[in-house]
Amino acid sequence: MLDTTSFTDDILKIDPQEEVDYIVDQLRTTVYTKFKKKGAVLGISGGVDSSVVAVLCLRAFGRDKVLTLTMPEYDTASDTAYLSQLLIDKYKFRNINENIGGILKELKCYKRRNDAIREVIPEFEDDWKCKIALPKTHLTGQLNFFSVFVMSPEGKTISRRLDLSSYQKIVAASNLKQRVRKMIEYYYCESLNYADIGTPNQVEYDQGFFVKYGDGAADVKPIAHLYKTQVYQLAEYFGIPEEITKKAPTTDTYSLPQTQDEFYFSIPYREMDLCLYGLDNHVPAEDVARAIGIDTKQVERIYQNITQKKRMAKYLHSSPEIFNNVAPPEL
Amino acid sequence: MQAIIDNLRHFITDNFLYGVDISNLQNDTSLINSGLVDSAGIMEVVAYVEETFNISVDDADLLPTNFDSMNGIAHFINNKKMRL
Repeated sequence: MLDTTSFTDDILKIDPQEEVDYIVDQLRTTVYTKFKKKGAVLGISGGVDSSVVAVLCLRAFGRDKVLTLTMPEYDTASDTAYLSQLLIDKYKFRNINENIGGILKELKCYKRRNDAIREVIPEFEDDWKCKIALPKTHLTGQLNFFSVFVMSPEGKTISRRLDLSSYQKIVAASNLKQRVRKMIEYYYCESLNYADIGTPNQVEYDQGFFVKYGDGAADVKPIAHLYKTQVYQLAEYFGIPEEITKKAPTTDTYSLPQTQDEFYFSIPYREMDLCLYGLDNHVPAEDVARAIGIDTKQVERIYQNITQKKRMAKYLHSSPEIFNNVAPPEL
Repeated sequence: MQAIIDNLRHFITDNFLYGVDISNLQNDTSLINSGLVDSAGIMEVVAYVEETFNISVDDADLLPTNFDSMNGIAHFINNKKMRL
C-alpha cells in the first residue's frame, strides 16, 4: 500500500528513456500493425504537449513519415508561429502551414462568439480582444462560474459573469476552431494514408479539457497516460527548446492571453497533477496539501472539482450509442 | 420555506431528471456531489432562482452553501428576500 505520509512531487518522476521506448513501441504497433497506416499527422501549437508528441513520432516513424501542421487563425497568439518554427527547425519536421482564419470566418465563428459576448457586454466591438475565465475556486470556495473579459483597442477593460446561454454560445463558437483543425488534419491523414496523433496529457484527458470531435478526436493519444509534469520530463530529455518549455500553458483560443488554469483547471499544472494523482490513488487531502504547500480545505475543494469534471468528461469520451447490441467489426 | 423547496424540487425534477421521481431526495443532499446537477446545471439553477424569486445573485453569493442543496437554496432565497 502507498505510504502517503511521505507524498511528494517525486511520485511523478519517470525514467524518460524507458518511457520513450515504451511509447515509441506502442506507436509503431498501433499505427503500422493495428491501423495499417504509413505514418503520422499531428497539429503543433508551440506548446510542450504537441512538441513532445511530435518528437515521439519522429522517433517512432522517422522524419519522412511524420507531417506536422501549424493552423493559425485570427486569435492565435503572436508567439505561436515563432515557437512552432523553433521546433520545426530544430528537428527538421516536414510542416505545412494551413491558416484556418478564412474558414472560421465563413463559419461565422468570430461573429457568433462576439454576438454572444454582446449579450452580456453590449459595448463590446468586433475589434476588441476577449477571453473567458474561471475564478480560483479552490481559494474562494466559489462555484465554477465563467466570466468574460474584454479589452478595447484603447485598453479599456470590462468583465462580467456569464449566464448559461451566453457561455454555451461562446464555447460552441470557439470550439469550431478545434473542429476545423481536426478536419484539416484528417484531410492530410487520408491523402497520405497516415494516422492522426492526438496530443492530450493525462490531466486533459481525464478532466475533459478537449473538444469532442475536435482536439478530442485522434487515432492514437500517446501521452494521455502521462501527467503534465511527466511531459515536461520528456521535453527536457528530448532537449526541446526552453522557450517552449518555460512558457505557461495556454489555450491559444481567445484573443486575450488565457492560461489553461484560468480557463479550465483553476490551479497550476503542478498542483493539478498532484491532486489528480492523489484523488485517483486515495491519498488523503492533508498529505497532498503538505506536498503542495496549501491548506487541506483547498485540496478538498480541488478533489470535489476534479470529481465533478470527471463526471462531465464521461459524455465527452463517449462514442455514439448503438442500439440492439450491434458491435463494430473486430480489427 | 416548504413552498420554496417544493418549487425547487419541481424545477430540478423537470430540468435535470426528466420527470424521474426524486421524492426520496433529502433536502440537504449535495446536488453536485450526488451527480444530479453539473456545473452548467448550477448556472441554470442560479438563473431560475433569480428569475422566479426576483432576486439578484452576486458573485460573492456563488457558494456551495447557497446553491448545492435545496435547503441551502431555500435559505439563501429567504435571506435575500429579508434583506430587500
